[in-house]
Amino acid sequence: MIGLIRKDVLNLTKVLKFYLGAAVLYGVFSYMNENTLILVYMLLMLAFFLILSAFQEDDVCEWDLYAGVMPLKVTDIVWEKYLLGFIFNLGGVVCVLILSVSLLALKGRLTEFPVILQSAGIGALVVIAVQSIMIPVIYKMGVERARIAIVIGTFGIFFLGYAAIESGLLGSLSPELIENMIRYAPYAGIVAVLLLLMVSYKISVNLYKKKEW
Amino acid sequence: MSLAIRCKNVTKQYEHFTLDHLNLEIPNGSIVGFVGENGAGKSTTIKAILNLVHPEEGEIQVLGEDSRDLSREVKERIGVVFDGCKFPQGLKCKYVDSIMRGIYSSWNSQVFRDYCRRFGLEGNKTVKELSRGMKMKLSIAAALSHGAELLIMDEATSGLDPMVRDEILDIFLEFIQDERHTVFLSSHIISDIEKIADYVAFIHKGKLLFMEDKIRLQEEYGLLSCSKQEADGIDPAYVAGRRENAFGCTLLIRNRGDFRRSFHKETDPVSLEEIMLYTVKGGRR
Repeated sequence: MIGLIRKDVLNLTKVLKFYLGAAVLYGVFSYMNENTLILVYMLLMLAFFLILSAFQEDDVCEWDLYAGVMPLKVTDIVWEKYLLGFIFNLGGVVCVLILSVSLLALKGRLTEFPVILQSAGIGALVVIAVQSIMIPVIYKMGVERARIAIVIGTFGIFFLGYAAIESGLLGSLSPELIENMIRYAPYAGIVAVLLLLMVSYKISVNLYKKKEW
Repeated sequence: MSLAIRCKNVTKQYEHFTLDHLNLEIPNGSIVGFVGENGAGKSTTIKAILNLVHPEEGEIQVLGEDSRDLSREVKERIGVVFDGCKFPQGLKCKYVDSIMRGIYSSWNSQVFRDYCRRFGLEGNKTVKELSRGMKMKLSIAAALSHGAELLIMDEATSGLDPMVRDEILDIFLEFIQDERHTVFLSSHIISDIEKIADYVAFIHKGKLLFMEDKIRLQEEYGLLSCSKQEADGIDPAYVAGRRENAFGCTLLIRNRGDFRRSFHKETDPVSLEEIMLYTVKGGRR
C-alpha cells in the first residue's frame, strides 16, 4: 500500500507544485476580494481534481495491468485511491487554514477564523462525498467518461436546487424545521458521508474484481 | 518433472477470438519460448496465467497455486515484463526503487541499483525521457530485483534493435543459470526464441499447435524440395506443410528419420521460422 501511495504522490509532484502555485494565486485573489471562502472552495476543488489526475496517469501507463501481477490485494489497490483522496483533501484543508489565517491576520480579522474552519470542514466533507461517488464511476466507466459524468452530475444538482427554489418547496418549510435541519446537518452530514464512503468502497472493490486487463 | 505453470483446457472467448482449450506445461528450470503470429493468443494466454483475464473454462496453476487465487508469497516469486513500460511516464527512474520497496517485501534495492548501473539507466530521467530499449531495461531491472523464480515476459523484446535484444537475452540466460529459475517468453521474433529457448510452444488462432524441445523439433522436421508429382506420392502423414511454386514444391516433412528410411530421401535442416510458416501457411500456398 505504501508503495502505491508513493507512486501516486511522486508521480504527481509536478501537478502538486502547479496546484500550490494556484493556491497562492487564489489566496491573492481572495485577499483582494476580501472573501476568504473563495480560497476554501477553490483549494478543495483542486484537491478533488488531483485524484482524477492520479487515475488519469494510471490509465495512460496501464498501471492497473502491472498492479495486477504484484503482491497486492484488490482491496489494497482500491483503498489506496480513497486514501490518496483523503491525503489530498487533508492537504487542501491544511493549505486553506494556513493561507486563510495568514490573510485574516494581515487584515486584522482573525475573529472570522471559526467561519473559515467550519467552511473548510463542510468543503472537505463534500469533497469526500463527491470522491465516493466518482471512484466507482471511474472504475466502471474510465476517467474520461467519468469526467463527463461529473459535469452532467454537477449541472443536474444545480438544476434540481434551482427547481426546488423556484417551485417554492423551500419556502413552504417551517422556520423551526429549517432551524433544526441546520442544527443537525453537520452530524447527519458526517454520518451520511461515512455511509456513502463504505458503500462506495464496496462497489469499487466488486467492480475492480470483475475487471479484465 | 515439476512444473512452473500448468494450463489445463483453458478457454477464453472474445467476440472475434477464442483461446481454445489450451493445454500448456512449463517445466521448472527451463526457458520456454511462446511463439505465434500477432493475434494468435499469446498475450491472452499470459494474461490468463496472471489472472488478468478470467477464462470461462479450464484451470491454471502457477508455482503450485491456482492462478485465480495466488498468494502474496507466490506473487513475490513471479517477475513480469510486459510489452511496454508500465511505470507512470512522469516518474523519475530513481523513485522506482522506493515504490517497489513498498510493494515487494523481497525487494532488493542493491540488486536494482546494480541493474540500473549495468543498463546505464539515469536516476534523474523520467520514464517518458527513456528510449523504448531503456524503458524495457527498466522493466526488466524491476522484474529481476525481488528474487523472482519465474519470469514471464510478453513481447518484451519486440520493437528493440538487435543490439539491445541481444543484451536482454543474455540477461535471461544469466537468470536461468539458477536451476530453480524458469523463463516463459512470448515473442513473434523467432530468432530470439531460437537463441535462448529450451522448449518452443507454438500457438495459432487460439490453439496450441505444439510444444516441443527446440532441438528435437529441429531434428524431427526437415524440408524436401521435389516435383509436384513426387510430392503427391508421399504419404500425407509425413507432410506437415507444403508450398508450391513454378518450379515444383517444398514439403515440410515431419518424422524425418522414419521418412528417410521409408523413402530413401534426405531432407534439409529447417529453422523454427520455417516450421512456423509451413505449419500455418503451408497448406494454402
